[in-house]
Order: sequence, then structure tokens, then C-alpha cells
Amino acid sequence: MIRLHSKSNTPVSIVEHQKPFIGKVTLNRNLPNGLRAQHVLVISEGTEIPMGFGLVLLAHDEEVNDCPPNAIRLSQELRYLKDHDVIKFYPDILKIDALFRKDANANSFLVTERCNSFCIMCSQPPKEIDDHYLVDDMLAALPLIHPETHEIAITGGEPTLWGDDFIRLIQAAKNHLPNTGLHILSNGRNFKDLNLAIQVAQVRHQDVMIGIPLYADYSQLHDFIVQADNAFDDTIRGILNLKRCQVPVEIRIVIHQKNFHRLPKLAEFIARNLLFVNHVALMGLELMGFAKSNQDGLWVDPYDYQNELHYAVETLARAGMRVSIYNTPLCLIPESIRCYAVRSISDWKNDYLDACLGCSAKEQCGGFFSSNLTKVSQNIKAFG
Amino acid sequence: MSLLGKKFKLIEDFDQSIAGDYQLLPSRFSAIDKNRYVLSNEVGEYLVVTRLQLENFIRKKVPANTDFYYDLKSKHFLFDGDSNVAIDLLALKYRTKAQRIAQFTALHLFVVTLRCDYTCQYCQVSRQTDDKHAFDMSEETANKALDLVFKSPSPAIKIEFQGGEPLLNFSLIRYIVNEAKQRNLLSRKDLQFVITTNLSLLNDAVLEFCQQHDIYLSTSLDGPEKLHNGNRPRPGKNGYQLTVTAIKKAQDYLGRHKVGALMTTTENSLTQPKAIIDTYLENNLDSVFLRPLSPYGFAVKNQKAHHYDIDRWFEFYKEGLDYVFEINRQGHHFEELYTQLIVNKLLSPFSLGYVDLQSPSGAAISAIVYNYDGDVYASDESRMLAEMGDKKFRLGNVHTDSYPDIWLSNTLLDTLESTVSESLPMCTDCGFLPYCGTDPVYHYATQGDVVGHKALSGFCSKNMKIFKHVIQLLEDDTEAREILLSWVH
Amino acid sequence: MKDDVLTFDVRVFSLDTIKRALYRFADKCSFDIQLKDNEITVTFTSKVVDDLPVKIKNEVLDQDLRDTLAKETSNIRTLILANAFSNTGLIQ
Repeated sequence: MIRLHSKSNTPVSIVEHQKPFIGKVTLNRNLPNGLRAQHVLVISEGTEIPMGFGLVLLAHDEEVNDCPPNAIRLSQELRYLKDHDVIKFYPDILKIDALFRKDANANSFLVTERCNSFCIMCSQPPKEIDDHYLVDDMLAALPLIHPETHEIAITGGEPTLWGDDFIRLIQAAKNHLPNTGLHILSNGRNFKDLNLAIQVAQVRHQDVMIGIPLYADYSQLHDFIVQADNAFDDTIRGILNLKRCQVPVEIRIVIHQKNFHRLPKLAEFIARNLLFVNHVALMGLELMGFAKSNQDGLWVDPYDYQNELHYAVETLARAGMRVSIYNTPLCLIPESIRCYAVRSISDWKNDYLDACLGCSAKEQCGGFFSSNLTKVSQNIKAFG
Repeated sequence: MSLLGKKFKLIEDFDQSIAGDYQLLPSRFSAIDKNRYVLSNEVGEYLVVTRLQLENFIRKKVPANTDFYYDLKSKHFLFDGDSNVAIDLLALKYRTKAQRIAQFTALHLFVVTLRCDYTCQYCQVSRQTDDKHAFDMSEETANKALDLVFKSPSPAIKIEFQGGEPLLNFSLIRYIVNEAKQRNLLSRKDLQFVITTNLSLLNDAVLEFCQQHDIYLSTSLDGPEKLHNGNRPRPGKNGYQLTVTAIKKAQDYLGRHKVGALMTTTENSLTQPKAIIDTYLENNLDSVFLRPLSPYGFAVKNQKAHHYDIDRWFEFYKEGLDYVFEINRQGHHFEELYTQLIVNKLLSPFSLGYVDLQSPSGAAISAIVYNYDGDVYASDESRMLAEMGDKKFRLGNVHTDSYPDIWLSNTLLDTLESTVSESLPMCTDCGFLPYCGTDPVYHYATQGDVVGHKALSGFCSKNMKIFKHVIQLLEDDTEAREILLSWVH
Repeated sequence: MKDDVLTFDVRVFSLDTIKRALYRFADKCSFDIQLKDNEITVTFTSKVVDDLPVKIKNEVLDQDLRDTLAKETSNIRTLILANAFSNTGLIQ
């Protein structure tokens, strides 16, 4: 597991920053002067500290002398930072967040923790707070992100709660990163208002996709899982509106104890009613947040729903839809549908078990969530 | 017990409907065997139910919180107070099914000659003559026909050369292909060509042309040599040998997927389905079409006989299909094409393009025939009927009539309108309606009326038997189901 | 040969229901239908084969269900079709 935040940083010189500072990481001590103020220099060896950088992070433990201001001893956990990464520095608590890592397999921006649903398996439990600073952080980080980045994501909470600012974020992503894909995770409910879908379409982002969860083929069960009345209807209408505006949509299905037995029927429902969506992701459970506290009512061994999974994948694939299986180890997936499995877990929270050592399929297999290592299928078995 | 934390409400708290109180959505049902019915909705989704389940459903007695209730809800057979998207989704699905009609005429048959070197016993149209001019289509006629072809709004156009034996007028085929491709530079349709031919005149020049222009060949192979030659005599009595040699040659030259064969079923075929299929296997063909007995010609005078012939044909079909399953079980992918069509119809959200099983009828709005003399017919069967003396479904002539004259002719519009399944007795409440079609020409030929009395109709009887059989297989036979699903495209 | 006769109570099954059910058996036999007081009398005018009367009675029950279904859903069917053919610019 890779840590993305740390408070274990210590000052080496006077910290002159009054407000949080967002900057791009460089390892180049000879960076041209005009660029230094917006950059964060990470030094892994040597005690000579060049001047003029917005922030200097010492990724070693040697003493330094004559240090210019804004020099910080970087915590061990964050010493992986390298060129083109983007960080946020909090001068008051000496916290550093890695907002963007160039080598990550996925980079997502949490833009709010507020949500209008309350999913029983939510890995990011909602908080009722004013966290508009998250929007500002993303807007500040976007210009610093490497232009060849393949894709970034917007997550939450529920990002569309920001209304016009939500559209601002999409516009900014297009402006600063015209060659980067944008994946937005949303419960889709606010798109029941056609205007919001139109606004998204009018940005004409070059490669945007909205990932929307649908957990059941009928309203009572879906509404229960997201703990909100009318959620099913709102979500369906949202999906229809987005497609009316030709915005790409992905349907995401998290599979657990409450809905695995209806998975075949849900696949049939999607294949007949939502045939036009661009992708369907069938996802294993991540035991974080509510999913962890509710695990007794949620956890099921994926091995035990392999028949339902098989039926669902075959139904969707036969209908000509793009399907993927996320977050499920290969040994728990029936052989005939293993080709749909994707290495989907963000690298920073991705791990394997001891039982996986020596498994011939380890390179292709997505492994586990770091948070899931303590509650594991009984049926994990390495391939010879 | 939900086993969730205290701040989470139970599933009952999210049900805004009154338990057990629901409304019915449009649906139809028909028995598939002694104990079960198929219940289908307005857009062809279906459930197999018992009589008791059916009665409970209609009398609104299905208990809430049961899988059956939720199956009915999710497949849009009922709706309740907890959700109101059903209407929007059904409307969207209905529009999807209806889309085919807007795309309009995709299949255009060109009868380039009536001359033929065979004298098949079931053929209504071919002429034996050496007089090229009497029964060949002219370039002028072909041009006029092509004018009409490219007026079709369909994004995909298939031009099928028919006859007689089309290769007897191969120079016109060359002309039409080149001319069509030339015009297509502007129209930019997905243009495909097929030649239906007995292959006796297949030579390198023809093969080279077919390869150059990606043309498909469709031939007739009725079964083993004796059966084939018995059905399809020609001078020299070597039809079978010529055909299989030519099939191989064409497969090698053009590729197997470019060569197909159809069979015509006669009395003699009914006793040997396996032998027929074996002949197909021997000749490296990947599919067989176990066609029903044609009503045209002999049976028109004897409508009842044709109706009872359906039972015998159905035994032939079942035996053939069982053998096809056996072939698949042994690892060889081989399809029976009518069954494949039915399975696709049962499971697809779209309307399929098979002309003879559509409502509104596929006549003219799906396929059209340009005869050698420029006469335009609503379907191939319409042309056969004309050859037998009844020109009821002749819609006009390419030399004298315009596109609106033909496609908006009263004959056509009246026929289409009066035969839409949803308005016909028996069809209107038949559970198989979404998968079936209406065949005005067949019913006119056999009963003298485009609508026909379905209880007396061989078309209805045949289709219902097949629907029941296929639905039962999908429900009860896991192996057959797997095989059938592998035929879904 | 004694003609077989079936009777139905018109307060239970409408005349239309009976007719629609009988229509389906036109290939098997022919009938006379009479309505007097509350009784519908169906008289077979051709040879009765198999268990035709039983089949007809079952078909009447089925047709009765069909009639209920059609009555209950005709309005909503119109609504669905109207929605389907209104221009909303969305095709799957």
C-alpha cells in the first residue's frame, strides 16, 4: 500500500508559506530560475540546497546548513515522489498530500465528501461539511498536471452537488489537459434534470465518461442499497438524459450479499433497457468505510456467486456490450469469463496475499484491496 | 435480518408502494404445453409461467417481496407505486423495435432472366428457352430499377440476383454491380451483392468477378444425390455432382463464408432430415435451413392438406434439429437457420430483417422484386403468384411508375395496414406476437384473403409449433440452451 | 350422432369471450351459438373429436383472462405508444 498523505514532515528552515501551497515536483536542482517558485524540489542526496524553489523536500536524513526558507524534511512514506508529481503542502500542520502521481495507474480527485445517497457499502462515507477547498485544489492542480497523462478521475461523495462548479471542473480539465480522458464517478441522480446533462455535453470534453452505479433491477432493492427513496428512478432518468445528450455512460455494479442473487436479472435488465451504455463494470466489494462496518451483512465470497457472475457477463457480452470484471482475483472467476477481468485496483491500495506467491497468473491478476487482506475468500488458490 | 449498522434503514422502509398493489402493463400469453404459458410484453421480453402464476398475475394476487413479483416488475409486466420509469423505458424499447421500419427497403431482388437449365419440380417461374431476348432483363430496365434502389433511405442495401438461373445473364450482373457501385460513390451505402444460382455455369470469370466485388453465392442443395436430382432435374441428370463440385470450387476461391446453400423441402425430403444434414456436413457448409413445404403451386388448391402437412414437416424439423444439436455437442459449430432466427427474435431488442416474419409485413418495406420485364413485386412470393396467373401484388413497372407510385400504391398500403398483427383476430392476443409476423401473400394464396383465419393457417400452425419447441428447449434443456445461445449474434 | 352441447353463464363469461375462444377451434369443428336468458348455448355442428369440449372450456377461461388483461392495459398501452412516437431524439 502506498500512502498518499502524511503529517510526519518536519521543518528544516523557516516556513514562509501562510496558505496551503500546491506545486509540481521536480528532482532537477538546476531548474531555470523563472520556474522555481511554482515547483517543489525533492532532494534525495546532498546537503547543498538551491534557492528560489517554492518548497524544498529533503528525502534524506542528513543535516543541512545554510538552508533557504521553506525546506522540509520529507516523511519516509512520501519519499517515492518524483518528477511531475503534484503535491499540496499545509504550512500550519506540515501535512503533504500527493494530489497527482505521474506513474500511478489511476489519478483521482476527491471533490467533495457530501452526498445525496447513503450507500450501505460506501467506501467513502458521506460527511456534511463545507469542503469547497477540494474544488479549489483541483482547479489549482490541473494546470500542473503532465499533459501526456492518459486519464484523471473526479470522485466524491457526489460531485454533481457542486452544480455550476462541477461544470467548471470539467471545463478546466478540458482547458488544461486537452489530451487527457476524464472519468467522473456520480450516482447520476442529479442528471434527472436534463439541464445538467446538457451543460456537461456543451463543454464538449474530448473524452469524458460518467460512471454510474446501478445495484438492482427493481427500485425497492436499489433504493435500499443506496438508502434513498426514488434513487432508482432518478438514476435511470439521469442515464437516459446523459445518453440523450450523447455523453458516454458506464454502469458500475458493486456485488455483495444483498444483490448477488439478482445479478443475472440485473444483467438482463441492462441488456434490454440500457443497451446504449458504453461499458458495464461488475465490481468486487472494497471493505472500507461502511462496507467495512457493515461487512457481516455485505460480505460474500466471490467464489459463491460465480454462477451469477458468469450468467451476467455472458448476457451482457452476447448483447454486444462492453463488460469488465473489476476487483476480483482471477482464481475466483470462472475460467470462461476470466478474459473480462481487468487489473482495476489503484496501485496505492493494491496488494497480494502470501498465497499468491508463485502464482503464474499474478501479472494478469488484479489482486486485492489492501483493506480486504483480513477478510478473504476461502477459495484463493495460486495457478501452477 | 439485514445485519447493517443502526443508521441504516431496512428494505421495507424504501418501498413506497402499497404491498401487493400493482398495475398491469400490456402483455399477451399463449400456452406452450399442458402446464405452462409464455407471457410476453409489448417489446418481446418474456417469462415462462404456470397457469396459476398467470392467473395470479392478472388477478393482481402476486405477493410482494417474492422473486416472481420482482421478475414481473423488472421485465415490465407490472408496475407499482415505488417507481415510475417503466413507461419511459417501454417507450424507448418500442421505438428501438420500430426503427427497422424507418430504415425501409434494404433487400432488392433483381430477376435478371427467367431462363434456366434446370426443371425443378417446385419452381413456378423458370422458362426453358434459348431466346435470350424474351426473358432477359435489359440494361435499360436495370437502370430504372437502380434508380429506385438508391431512393431507399436504408443505410444498407443488399442486391440479390435471382432468376431462372441468373448466371445465364451474367453480363447484366456485371453491368448492374458496376453501375450500382458507381452510383454508390455518391450514396455511400453499405452495399452488398448476392447471386442465387444453381452454380452449373460457375467458371473462373464468374469467380474472379465475385472475388473482386465481394459477392456472396447462394445455391440450392436439397440433400443426398438421389433426393437432390429427383427434386431438381436437369439435362444430363448430373445436378448434384455439378453442384457439389462447384460449391467446393467456390469455397476454395472465395472463402467458405462467402458460399451458402439452402434446401427446398419436398415430400421426399421429409423422411431423411439426417441424410440431408450429412450432405451439408460433407460439403463443408456450416448451416442448414430446414424450410417448410411451400404452399405455392400444388397446395393452393388443397389448403387443408397443406395445413396437415405441417405436422409431418414439424417431425422432420425436430429430427433435423436434434441431429444439429448432436453435431454441436460433438464440438462442431453448425446452425439451423430458422431456429437461429427464432432464438434471435426471442432474445433481441431489435427487429430482425427476415422478410417473411415481420409485422408490418416485409412486403415492399423490407424487400422488393424487380422482374426481368420491369414489373415490380412486393415480394418473391408475389412474383410466384403472378406466374401462376394472379398479379394482385404487382405494384407497378420501373418504366412507367415512380417511387411514390410503387411504394404508396393502394394495393400495398391497404395490404400493409390491414395485416398488422396487433389488429388481427387471434394474433392480437397471441403470446408469440412479438416474435411472429404477418404474411399477406401466403394467406392470400392459401385462403384467398390477406388476413386469413389463423386457425386454418399453415403459417400460424408452423410458427406456433416452432416457438413452443424453441421456448421449451431454452427453458428445460441446458445443453440445447447453450448451443442455441451460441447462435445469437 | 348426438350433438355435443356446451353451456356458459353470460353473467360469468361475456358473449365476446365465448366467440373469441371458439374462433381458435375453427379448424377442429363448427358451432352454433345461441343466447337465451342468461345462458349461452354452443352446439357443435360437426363431429366432436378428442377432448374438444374440455379444451374449449379451458380456452374460454384463458380468453376470459385475456379480456381482463386487455381491458386493464389498453389505456396505458396508448400512453406508451404516444411516448414512443413523440420526438425525444433517443434511439438505442
